[in-house]
Amino acid sequence: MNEQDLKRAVERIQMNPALKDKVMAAAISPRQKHTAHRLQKAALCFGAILVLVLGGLWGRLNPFPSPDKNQFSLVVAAAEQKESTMKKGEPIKLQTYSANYYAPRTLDLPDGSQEWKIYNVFALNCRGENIKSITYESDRIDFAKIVILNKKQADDLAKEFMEIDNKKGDYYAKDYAIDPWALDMTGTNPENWNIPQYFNLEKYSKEDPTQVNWGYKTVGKSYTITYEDQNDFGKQYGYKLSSHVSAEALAKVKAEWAKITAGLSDKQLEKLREDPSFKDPWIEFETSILSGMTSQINGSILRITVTFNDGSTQTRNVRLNADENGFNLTATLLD
Amino acid sequence: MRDQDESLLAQKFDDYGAMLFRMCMVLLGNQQDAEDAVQDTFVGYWKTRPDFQSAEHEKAWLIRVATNKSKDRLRSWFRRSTTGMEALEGIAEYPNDLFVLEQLAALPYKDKTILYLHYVEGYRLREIGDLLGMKENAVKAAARRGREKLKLQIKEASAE
Repeated sequence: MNEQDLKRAVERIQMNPALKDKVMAAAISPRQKHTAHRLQKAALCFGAILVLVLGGLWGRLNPFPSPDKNQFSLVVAAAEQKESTMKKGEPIKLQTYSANYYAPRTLDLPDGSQEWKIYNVFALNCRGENIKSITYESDRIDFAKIVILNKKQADDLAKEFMEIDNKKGDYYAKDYAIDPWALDMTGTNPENWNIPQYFNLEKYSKEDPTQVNWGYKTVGKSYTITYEDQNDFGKQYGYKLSSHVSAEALAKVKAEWAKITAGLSDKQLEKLREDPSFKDPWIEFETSILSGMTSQINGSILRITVTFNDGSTQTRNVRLNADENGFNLTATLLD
Repeated sequence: MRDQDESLLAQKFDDYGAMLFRMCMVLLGNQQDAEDAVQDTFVGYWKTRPDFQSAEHEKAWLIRVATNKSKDRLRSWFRRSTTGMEALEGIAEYPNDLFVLEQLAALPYKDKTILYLHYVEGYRLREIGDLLGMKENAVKAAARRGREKLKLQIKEASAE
C-alpha cells in the first residue's frame, strides 16, 4: 500500500445522501431561519476574485520591461503569491511548493540504514527578451526533473517499490523513470493544489485532473530549461535534499522510544505526547536530521546563466538560505 | 431571506459535507457516529456563523470543529459503538479500500488525524500544527510514527 491507496480508499468512502437533509433540519431551527448572513457570501466572492487576480499575476509576461535587448531579471513568487523582481543585495522570500508538503521520504536500505529525501520546487523565473534558454547550476544541491506519470505508471512504480520494500531489497539495482519512492500526490480538487497557482497543468489533465501524478528524477547539479517551458509544469526541475541515516543511529532512537513507551496503551501514549515537558526522542532525532538536510541549502549558490537568441550569455548568482525548518527560503541576488 | 439562508447552508454542506464525513469516518470508524459528528459541526457552524477571511480559512475551521466533535464523541458515554470493522463494510466500495481503511482506523486518534489531513486533504505539516494546536516538530514525528505503524499493521495483516 502507498499513500495513493490510502488517499483513494478514503476518497471513495460513500456518504449517505440523506445526511444532508438531516443536517439541514437540525441546523435550521425556525428562529435561525430568519437571520441573513450575506457577509460570508460576499467574503467568498471576494476571496474567489482575489485568487483569480493573484493567480493571474504569475502568468503575466515581463511586468518590468526593459528597453535594452538581451536583458533579464529574476522574479520570485514570494509569500502570498505576490511576484517580485529580485534586486541586488536585497534578500527576498522565495516560495517553495511540493505536493508532498515537505514530509521526508525514507528508503529502508538492505543494511538497515535509511535514506531520507525531500523534493521541492522553488518558484523562481527569468523574465526578459530574446531569451532562448536558462541554465541553473548549484554548488551543493542536486536538481531533480519532474516526470509526469499517468495513474497506471504511478501505480506500477509504487507496486514495484513496495515489493522491494517488503523483501528489503535494493532500490538501486535498476534505473527507474523516477527516483525510488519519489512519487508525489495530487488532490481530488485541483483548485486546492498549490501547483496550478503557478503553472498551467491543463495539458496534463484534460481527461481527469485528479489522475495527474508525478515523480522526480535526480539529474545532478545543473539543468537547462528553455524560456518558453518555464511555466510548463511537466518540464520543471525541483531540488533534492538527502541524508543517509545509519542503522546504529536508528537502532539507538528506536531502543530509547521502546524504553519510554514500554507497557503504555495508545491512550497513555497520546497523553504523554501531549505533555509539553515530554522530550520525544524521535522529534529530537528527526529535527537533527532535517536540520542537517536543510543546511545543504544554507549559503549555497545558485548560478543562473541565460543564453540569448544571438548566442550571447549573461550570468547572475543567487545565494540561498533556509529557516531552521527548511520551509522558508530566502534568496539574495549577488550581482 | 429564509430561502437564501437555507440555500447558503445547503451550499456549505455540498462544499464540505462529504469531506467532513470521510474524515469523521476515519476518526470514528462508525457511520452513525460520523454522521452525528458532521451534524454537530454544521449545527455549530450555523449557530455561530463566524466570519472567515477565505474559503481555506472556513474549511480549516470546519475541520478543526469536526475533529473536536469526533474526539468528544470518542470520549462520550453515548458513543453508539466501538470501532467495528463491520461498520466500514457498508462504506467502502472495494475490498482493498476496506482493508486500508481498517488499518487506518486502527491507528491512535492523533496519528490518523494527521495522516488524513496530510495525505488526503493535502495540508502541510505546519498547517496541521496550526489546525490541531501542535508544534510542527510534534506533527512531523506523529506523521512519521503513524506511517510506520500503518506500514507495520498492513504487513502483519497481510501475513495473516
